[in-house]
Amino acid sequence: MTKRILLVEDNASDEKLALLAFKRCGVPCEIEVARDGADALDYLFATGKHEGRDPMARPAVILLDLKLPRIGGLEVLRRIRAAPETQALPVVVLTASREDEDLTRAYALGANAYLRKPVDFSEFAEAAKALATFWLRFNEAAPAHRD
Amino acid sequence: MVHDGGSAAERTFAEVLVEESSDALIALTRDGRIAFWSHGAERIFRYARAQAIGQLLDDLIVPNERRSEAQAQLDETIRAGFTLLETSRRRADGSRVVVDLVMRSVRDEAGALRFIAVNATDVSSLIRLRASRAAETRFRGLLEAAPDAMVIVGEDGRIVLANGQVEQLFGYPRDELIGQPVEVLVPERFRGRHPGHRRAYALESQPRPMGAGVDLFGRRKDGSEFPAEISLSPMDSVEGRLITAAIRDLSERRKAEEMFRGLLEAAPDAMVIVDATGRIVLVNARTEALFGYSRRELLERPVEVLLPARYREAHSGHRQGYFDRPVQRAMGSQLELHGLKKDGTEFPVEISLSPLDTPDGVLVSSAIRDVTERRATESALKVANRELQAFSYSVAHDLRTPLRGMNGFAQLLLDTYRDRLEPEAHDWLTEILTSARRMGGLIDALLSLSRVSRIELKPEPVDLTAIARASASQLASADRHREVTVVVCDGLHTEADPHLARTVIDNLLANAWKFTRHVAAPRIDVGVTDAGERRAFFVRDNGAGFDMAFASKLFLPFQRLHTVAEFPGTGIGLASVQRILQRHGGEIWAEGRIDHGATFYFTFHGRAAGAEP
Repeated sequence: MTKRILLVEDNASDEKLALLAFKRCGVPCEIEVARDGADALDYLFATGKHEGRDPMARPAVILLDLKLPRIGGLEVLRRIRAAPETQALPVVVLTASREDEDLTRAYALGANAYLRKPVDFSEFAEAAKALATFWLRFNEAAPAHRD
Repeated sequence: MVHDGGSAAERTFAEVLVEESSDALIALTRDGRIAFWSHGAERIFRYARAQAIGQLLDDLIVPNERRSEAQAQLDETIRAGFTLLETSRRRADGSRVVVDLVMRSVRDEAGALRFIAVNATDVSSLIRLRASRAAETRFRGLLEAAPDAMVIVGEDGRIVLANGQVEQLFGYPRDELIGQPVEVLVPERFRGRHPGHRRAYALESQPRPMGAGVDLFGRRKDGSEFPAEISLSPMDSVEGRLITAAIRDLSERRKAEEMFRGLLEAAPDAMVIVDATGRIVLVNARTEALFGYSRRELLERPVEVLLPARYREAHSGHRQGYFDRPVQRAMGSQLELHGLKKDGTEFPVEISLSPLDTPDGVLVSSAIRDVTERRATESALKVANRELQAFSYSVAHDLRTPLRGMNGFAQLLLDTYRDRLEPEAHDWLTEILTSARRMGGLIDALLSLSRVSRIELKPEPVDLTAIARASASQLASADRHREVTVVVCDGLHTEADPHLARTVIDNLLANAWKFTRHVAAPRIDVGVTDAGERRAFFVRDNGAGFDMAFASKLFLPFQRLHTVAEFPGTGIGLASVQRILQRHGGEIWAEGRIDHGATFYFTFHGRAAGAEP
């Protein structure tokens, strides 16, 4: 079964580049895009416009931007970690920021990795390939949470 | 008249002798009544002949305390025929005169007493002279050694002795003063009252300053005046009571005081001078303007009136503490201080204190500055800085997003359509990629510059030797094809934020590494030097160097002395280094010559810490 990535990204151009990078990375995957924090949470918890979606069908990894409209990335991360059904989901922060404060808070809230978006696309493509390879091919996910 | 039977001409001559004599010639009856009173007697005792004739001599001119002495002399004269006495007699105006009193009894052939002839010579001037001589020999040495002008005055108010300082101060030769009433040294407008004060003091027995609380003046021979401080002391001698007046010219002190007041008034701060009990002694015009009180309302009041009530109690304690150890310092350097205006409004102040040693004891002068505006500016600046930080943060991040788009799609275009692109189109796309990448680098550099300006400093002891060695080996492993000799001196220590200290060393070494790339035997030295006046760390290379004419531009952001093609870089490294060092309280400067290398000297504080051998 093709594994799924949830990409939380509000910038259309970044989204397009990310899709292209993952498409070309050689690891088969399906990418779901949420364009702000609220959208991402609705998707994960099958609420709002994602109501009716099977909440058990979870992404293998979440790529989370920090600067997002409505609900910011760090708050999304906090809620993911707060809910029993999502607390074990791998979250990779993917952002432009390299501020110590952002890094510290992201890790404190339980980010699994922190990636700074490089300007150079070749570098980004390389990172995408490494991400997909690791999280989709090699990483073993936690057993599904049962209430 | 006394008739002794001589001729008219002889009488006239005797009359002339009697009347022209400067002595008092008096004839007394047996019971002591005045039968004759010469002109000389009128002059000396100031009674007219008509007033004197028929009076008892004792009633007229003998002071009460000398009555028995006078009676004794009269008795002795009658018994022995002749007496001589130096004594004091009273004039019509009550004043005293010292006289040599010769009495002779004149008898007829039968031996019956006809009358008593009295000859009184005024010896006041002789006495004065004698007193002056005696005093002079006794005190001259002492007087001349005194720093003040010293005048010794007799009971009669005449100057007995004066020292050299008096001549200088008042402009009189000494001879001219001796025997003069001391009032010649007093300005005319005070002369009338002076003898009264003088006589009153003659009854005291303690030394004291003259005219407490009153401004005193001396008068020079040329009529000019000067402010004076005068202290008096009584001295009893055989010649009677003498008064010594020590006179100090206050002109210089008054001038200094005026200058002090002038400075005080000109001061841009409110100046409040307080005595040891916390009372306000002096304020300037700025104080009136700042606090809204008039000078009169403040003088003598406790300084705490200028403080909000909640600070008053603690303040008087602090004040005591300050008087115990008065040194120049800022008040409550860690605290926000407030002043209280007369209308009840409070305002933030900064206060610096300094002790003033005065003849009246230690006073404390406080310079009070209203910092309302500065506080407002500071907080506006803080807001502006915060906004600027937010701005540069978001600029740095948001600028990168479109760059990623430009770079990403150009790269995709290049990768995906490589075969179908003309070589020229290929070239242009490569230019876009390079430019975007370079702009990315600039944004990163800008971001790191703004980061070193705003992150909090956490200074601790730092081993610069270790940092420099680690940094050098990192440079070597990232650039394996180059052989650079790096010599780092042992034991370079300082107190600094470890993270930022690393940034400093990394930047300086990377710089040296970069600029030695065209040199045959590149070498970098890291050490500490005492050369020049300051002790400083240094990083020296033998690379491309620079023209000293541009030394000042080295540390400006985005200023580069070389082209990117020669030596790539963003022009932000040295700017960051300088900002880090300045934030620590240190500095950086450089020496160099084109093609002869460069040396960067730096300190984290005023001075570099020592290198341990």
